[in-house]
Amino acid sequence: MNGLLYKDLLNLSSTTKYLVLVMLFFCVIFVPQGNELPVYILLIIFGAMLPMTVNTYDTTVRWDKYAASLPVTRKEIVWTRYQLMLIGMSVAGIISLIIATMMTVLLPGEGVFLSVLDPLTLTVMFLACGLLVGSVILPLTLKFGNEVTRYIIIMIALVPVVVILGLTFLLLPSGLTFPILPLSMIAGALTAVAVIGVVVSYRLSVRIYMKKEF
Amino acid sequence: MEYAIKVTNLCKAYQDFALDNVSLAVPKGCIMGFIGENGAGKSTTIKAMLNLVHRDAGTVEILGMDLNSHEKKIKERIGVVFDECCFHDNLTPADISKILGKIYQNWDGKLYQKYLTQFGLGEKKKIKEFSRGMKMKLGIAAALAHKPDVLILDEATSGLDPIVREEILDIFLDFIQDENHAILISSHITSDLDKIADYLTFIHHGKIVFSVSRDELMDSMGIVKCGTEDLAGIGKDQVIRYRTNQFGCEVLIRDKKSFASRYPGMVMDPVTTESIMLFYSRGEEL
Repeated sequence: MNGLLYKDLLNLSSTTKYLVLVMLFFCVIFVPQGNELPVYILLIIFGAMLPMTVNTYDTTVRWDKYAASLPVTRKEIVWTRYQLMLIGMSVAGIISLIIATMMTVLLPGEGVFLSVLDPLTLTVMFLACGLLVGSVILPLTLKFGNEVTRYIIIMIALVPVVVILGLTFLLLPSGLTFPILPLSMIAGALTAVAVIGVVVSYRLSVRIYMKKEF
Repeated sequence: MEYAIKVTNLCKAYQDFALDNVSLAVPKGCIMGFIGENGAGKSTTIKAMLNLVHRDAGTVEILGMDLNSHEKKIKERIGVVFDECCFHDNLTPADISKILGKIYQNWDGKLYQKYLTQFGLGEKKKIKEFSRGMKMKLGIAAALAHKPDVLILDEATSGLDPIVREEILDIFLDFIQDENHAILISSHITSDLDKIADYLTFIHHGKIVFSVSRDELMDSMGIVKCGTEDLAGIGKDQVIRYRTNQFGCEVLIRDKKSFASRYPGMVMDPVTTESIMLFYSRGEEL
């Protein structure tokens, strides 16, 4: 493990305790009701937001300035942020899969998504969404900093809601409905988009970080 | 002469400030003090030397290698201390050792521990519990523990009490005993530089005013106190800068030996780094 990633994980260790507590609280409240959705959303947000949390720590002590004086390239610094996001999302994915599998065994037929999806497909779909969110957040954080990025994320999050609501209002009077695609196709498409999103986001982040001055 | 650091015609322009053809060279086995008032361009020069800001023009060579083509190699062999502690508050010195041990190929955990003990820094104590002075000492320990050949220090002794400063200056002097080592130190505490610097580089409004051996400066320059009416009688070629006060004026003389022979009646005081800096920053030209 490289030193930069190790530093991030050390910094996150105290935060992680609180995240685990919050997640357990959500599990206890929502899972027995057969509603696992908030737990997945929470996990994915935590995973995708890890680099942003680390960025907050780094900005406070001006770590980036120090890191630029160390024998590491700027590309390696950016790659560490993406590694952290991938680790966060992997952990979120594993926990989601465990929860989903346990729900299918202990509460068969229950669950918002588990009634129509198998645990693995469900996890893959949520992971893909998380990676997409993370891929949007990371370059924005590097370019504008955490404060501005928060507002931009709120704006971006509102876009799909507005589009879906707008389409619904447009389609309803005409009697048309949304085309229903097979779930496996949606999962596959989402995964492909997420992979492309991560690659594009990484390249963009490297370009942004290369131009940065400390 | 072999140089550990060689900066040539470095330029960097901002909206309201510019580094203008900054050149300096630190010979191996020497300590160069980098002086100038706040905002003169010391930190910007150091940042440009480390690629923390992008240069508009100029070259930087450290240990005979060009910074652009050998950046990583160079950074393996230099130790950098900034004017602030860049380590996270929740970490401990032991954590820093684990982090930097994974970054530097030559990281020496035992040497780092030795410095921590010498500086009285608890290995398991969180950095947030450290005073500013302790944080600076931690930065210096971290900069030395990978056995660098060159130290670049940007106001590294600021915020430290005189006893600790002296302790650190001794470490710098010890470091420089190896004739392949070199130190570039920017500092406002000119008395520290009087103790350790072999060379002095003075930057003013983004331009290098002089970059010479400290002995040469001290041997050649002098300060003459005289009445304002006497000033007119002093040759213009002898005066670098002068400052007036309620008792008359003080004049910074370029060549004190030649001045003494031409004006034997005038009393000459020796210069200090601080007095030179003040004359250049606040004095007037004849």
